[in-house]
Parts: sequence; C-alpha cells; structure tokens
Amino acid sequence: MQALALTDVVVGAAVTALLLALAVQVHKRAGTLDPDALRATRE
Amino acid sequence: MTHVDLSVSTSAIVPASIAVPLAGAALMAGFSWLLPRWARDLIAIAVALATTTLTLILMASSAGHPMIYWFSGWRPSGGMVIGIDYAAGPLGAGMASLAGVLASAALVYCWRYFDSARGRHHALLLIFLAASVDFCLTGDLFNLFVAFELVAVTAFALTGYNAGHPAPLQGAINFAVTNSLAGMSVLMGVGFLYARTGSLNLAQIGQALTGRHADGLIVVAFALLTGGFLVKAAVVPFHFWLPDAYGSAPIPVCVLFAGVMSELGLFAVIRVWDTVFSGLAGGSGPRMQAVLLGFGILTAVVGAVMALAQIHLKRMLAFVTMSHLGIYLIGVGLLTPLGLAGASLLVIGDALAKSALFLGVGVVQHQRASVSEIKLRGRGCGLAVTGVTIVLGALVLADLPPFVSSVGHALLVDAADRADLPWTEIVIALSVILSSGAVLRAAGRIWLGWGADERPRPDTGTEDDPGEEAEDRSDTADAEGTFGANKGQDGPERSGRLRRVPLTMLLPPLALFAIALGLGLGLISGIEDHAAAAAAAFSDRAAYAATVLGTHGGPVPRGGRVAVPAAQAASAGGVLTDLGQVLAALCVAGIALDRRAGRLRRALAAGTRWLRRLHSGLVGDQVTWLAAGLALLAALGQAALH
Repeated sequence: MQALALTDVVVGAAVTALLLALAVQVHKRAGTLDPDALRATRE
Repeated sequence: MTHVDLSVSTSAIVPASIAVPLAGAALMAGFSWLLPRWARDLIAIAVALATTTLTLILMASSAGHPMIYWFSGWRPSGGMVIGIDYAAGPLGAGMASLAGVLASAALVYCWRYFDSARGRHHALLLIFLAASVDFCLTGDLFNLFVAFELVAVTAFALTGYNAGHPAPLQGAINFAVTNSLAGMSVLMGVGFLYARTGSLNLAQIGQALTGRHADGLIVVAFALLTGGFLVKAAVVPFHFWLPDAYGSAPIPVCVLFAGVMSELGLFAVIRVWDTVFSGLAGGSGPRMQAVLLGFGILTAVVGAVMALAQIHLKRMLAFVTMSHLGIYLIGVGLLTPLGLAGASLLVIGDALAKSALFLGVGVVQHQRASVSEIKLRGRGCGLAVTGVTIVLGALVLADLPPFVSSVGHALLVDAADRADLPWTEIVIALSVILSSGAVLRAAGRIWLGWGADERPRPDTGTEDDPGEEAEDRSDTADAEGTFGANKGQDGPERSGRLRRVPLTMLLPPLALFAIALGLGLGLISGIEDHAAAAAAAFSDRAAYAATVLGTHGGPVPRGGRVAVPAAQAASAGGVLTDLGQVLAALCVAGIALDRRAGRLRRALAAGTRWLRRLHSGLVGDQVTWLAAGLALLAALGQAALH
C-alpha cells in the first residue's frame, strides 16, 4: 500500500508540475488565469 | 522441454519492449546535446523500429497463449499474486506494435518538420511509445493507471510543444485538466477495487469478483474506471477536449494521438471489463452491451456530424477520429470475440489511414501556411502527391477494398449480424460515409477548387461562419508555431515554403498505405482468423486468470478459440457494401461542394448549430460534462450490473 501511495505521489507531482508550467505560460501570454477568458480554441 | 526453453528465451522480450524505448528516451533527454542532428533522428527512429520489431515478435510468439512475465521473478504462490506482471497477448502486442509503426513514421516525418529542440521532442515521443507499450502489456491494475498517467503527461507536453502560441497552449490546458481528472477517477476506481478484493492484479481481482453480486462499491468502481478510460478514448460526453488537443498539437504528435491514444482508452475499457467485471453474477452481459453500444453510436454520429461542420482541417480529422472510435466501440460493445476482432482490424487499418491523412495535412500546412479549407481553396497545385494521399486516406477510411480496414469492416458486420443487431451496420455506414465525405469535400475544394468561394463574405450565414474567426486565429498560430521552430534554420524561407516538399514528409504516408494494402492483400495469410483467435483468447476470462495465476500446469486449453467460426471476409456482398460506402462518401462530398445545394447546407448548419455551440472550448464546460458523464455511467452501471 505504501508503494502505491509513493508511486501516486510521484505521478501526481509530474502532472501538477506540468499543469503549473502551462498555467504560468498562459499568464505570460494572455495576462489572465481566468479559464473563461481563454478563447483560442472556441468552436 | 523445448517449449519451456522457448518461453524462457522469448519472455525477456516482454520487458525489453518497454525498456528499449525508455532507454532511448533517457539517451535523447540526457545526451542529445552531444549528438549531431542527424544522429539524434537516426537513433530515435532506430529505437522506435526496434520497439516495433520486439512487439511484433511478441505478437507472433504469444499467439498460442498469453506470455506472462513477473517482475524479478515474483511468481504467484498458491494462486495468490505477490508480484507485478506483464500479460502479453497478441491483441495487446499488436496494439503496441501499431504504436511502434506510427511512432517510427512520425519520427521520420519530423526529420524536416521541426528544426530545433528535437532532443526533447524525440525523448517525449519515445516515452509516449514506451508508456503505450506498457499500457498494452500490463496485467496489473495499478500499473495500468501509471501507464495511463505517463501516456497522458507526455501527451500534454507534446500538445503544448508550441506553447508560445495561444491555441496549442489552450489545447494543452483543456487536455491536461480533463485528463488529469480522468486519472484521478481511474485511481479512485483502482482504490475501491483494492479495498474490496485486496488485490491489484487484474486476474486476481477478476477471480475475487467471480460469481459475486455487484454492490454499490463495485458499481462505483466500475463507473470511475470505465469513465476515466472513456475520457482518454474521447467518447461522448467525455470528448470535448479532443478537438482542442488534436487541432493544436504538432502534426507528428497528432499521428500518435489519432492512431494510438484514443484506442488505448478503449483497449483499457474492454480489458478491465473482460478480466474483472464480466464474471459478476447476474448475467450483466446483454445490458452492458446496450450501454456500450449506446455510447458507441452516439460518439460515431456526433463525430461524423461535427466533422462535416469543420473547415479547420486538423479539427476535422479530430472529429473523424472520434467518429471512428465510436465505430470501434460499437464493435467492442457487442462483447463477442468476433466484434472485438473486427474492431481490432479496423483500428489497424484506420490508424494507418488517419495517420497518413494527418501527415498529408501537415505537408499542406508546411507549404501553404494554413489549415483552413476555405483559405486553401484551389491552392493545391504543386502538391499532387499530398492530394492523392488525402483522397486515398479518406477512401480507406470508408473501407475501400482491398485495404485491411475493409476486412475489419466485414468482420464487424458479420459480428453484428450474429448478435442480432444488424441495424448497427446502418449507423456504422452512415458515420463512415459522413466523416469520409467531409475529408473528400476538403480535398475537392483544395485541389480541384470546387465549391463556392466563401472567403470574402463573412456575413452570409454559411455553415462555417460562427467559428471562422477563431479557426483562423488558431490555424495561423499553428502555422507560426511550426515555422517558429524553423527560424534559425531557414531564415530566408520565413514564409515557410521549402522549395520542394522533402521526401521524408511525402514517403511516410505512402509507406503507411503500403502496410494497410499489404495486410489487406494477405501479407499475413488468414489475418481475420488470427484476429478472431486473438480476440477469443483476449475475452476468455477463465483462461486468462488460469494462465496468470498458474493454476493450470502447462499451457491453458484455448477454450474460446474453437468457438469462433471464421468469417467470410472477402465475400462479394461485403465488397459491394464497402464500394457503396466509398461511392456514398464521394456523393456527400459532391453535394457539400455543389453550389446549387446551398439551401440544404444552410438548413443542416442551422440544425446542428446547437451541437457546435456545445463545443465551447472552455475547460469549465468540459469538466462539467465529464462529471455529468461519470454520473450517467454510474447510473447505467447500476442498472446493468445489478
């Protein structure tokens, strides 16, 4: 069970780091972190 | 004795087929700065080809019975699993080798497509490949989750590879948010099953649940696991991230996404169903069949209708991918080995064609700096090979004989007939016709200049107007993203036009068609029988559990294999149906381009506007749909499993 928790911590850290990097990038480019203000992929 | 020797020598291939691409990725990430450009490309291609070869060997040698590999030799003792295993069957290994083929094609294509930072790109692509292979081969539920997340993380990074531009960045965010929620959902499902059965091994969980009645915990675990995998497979209503991600990812990455990633989600759904949940008491098979068929039909139809409404070529192909995924789900959802076999062959044939289509669109984008069908009208001259690629791709997607997808289609039709559900064929044919018709319409407009010129009039209310502005923005961003990487290399060629299309961009799609044609013409003789046998072995829960847990002494008797009568793949009726689909797709394209049919087009556009509105591209909406879909799945699961 500990092995599972540890593995998931590692996986979770990777995902979170990537999401954070994307969020920083969005803030840099669009100047906002409001998801509803991002319209680049609107249908 | 000889049999034992053989299995010892080949069992090393199982971990090797994951270790090789991982080691290659580590090499790329760590030492690519030491290597010249051509060496980086060559090594990456060689690693991908080696992985393909290993998984092909695996597919051939596991055809008789699945090959089990226990990490560090921790075998189960007395039917109790204490280690982690890989359980490689021909179906999983075939899926893995498909990933290898597509990764190789994508890497060859990259040779001239990107010009900077290729070490990182290649490393990510190879990790993606390793994770896909891991996903296909693993026999452990938690390992399945880890592979799921690894595929997802590399896919987010690859989607946002051109993160300097708004569309790829937002595509990556939508993709990352929805798919990490899916990961959470899968993890919770794994946790619930572990709580109930005390095991993470698929075979052992299946054994523990056999003959039991489904209680609330099991139903919720089913909904969380299946829902999580359906997000990856992009099944309605979990699909909203897909056009955003596929529409903004770099072309070589789209190849892997469309050919492998969505199918992996479906593979996991059926793997978990077959090994874990199918043994529950109460005969839930027929009701689960209805649930899966419902999702499949919805996805096939929504994907086809949305594909027809797109002018952004990559988004169009994204919806085509989705529509075809719905068709596979119909095949898989029949819950018969024959349906699974047909879907598998369709996956192979369609993946090759879809990849060729994406690669062709990549050439157009590279040469003309746009992926908008309207802007490209009549600008196809000089790209004849690509035009042929795209038309051929669309026809193969419409199951043009003798390509391998027509063999798969014949099996699928046969399976539907035997399951007394012949009307599903109509749904399949309709969505195939509409989605191929959309691609053919684009080809007719770009290469033949057919259809009305819709560029200068933004307010005529044609079907593509509402989204046109946004589409334009995203596709120019796309084009710049690709060429931004070119800056240092091709300064004077800033407009993005190489004088000639490089051969490394023209040949991979043709090679993929050659594979599809070869498989269809009998490169592997009796491919439909092999597929049927593989699918039967895959669906045989008892045999799988016996092999993994080692409760039988020697090789397991292959009970399911006998039960599968060979299908009449090459019957005249099947060929006629396929040709009919091809002709109908051409007709759809013709009607869509005919100037006289404007009224009809406007009526259809107005009728589907609500559907287009739902695809808002806002991540909040997508998460809401995901939650609603999970709730729906839980309700359906409750009805089906109880």
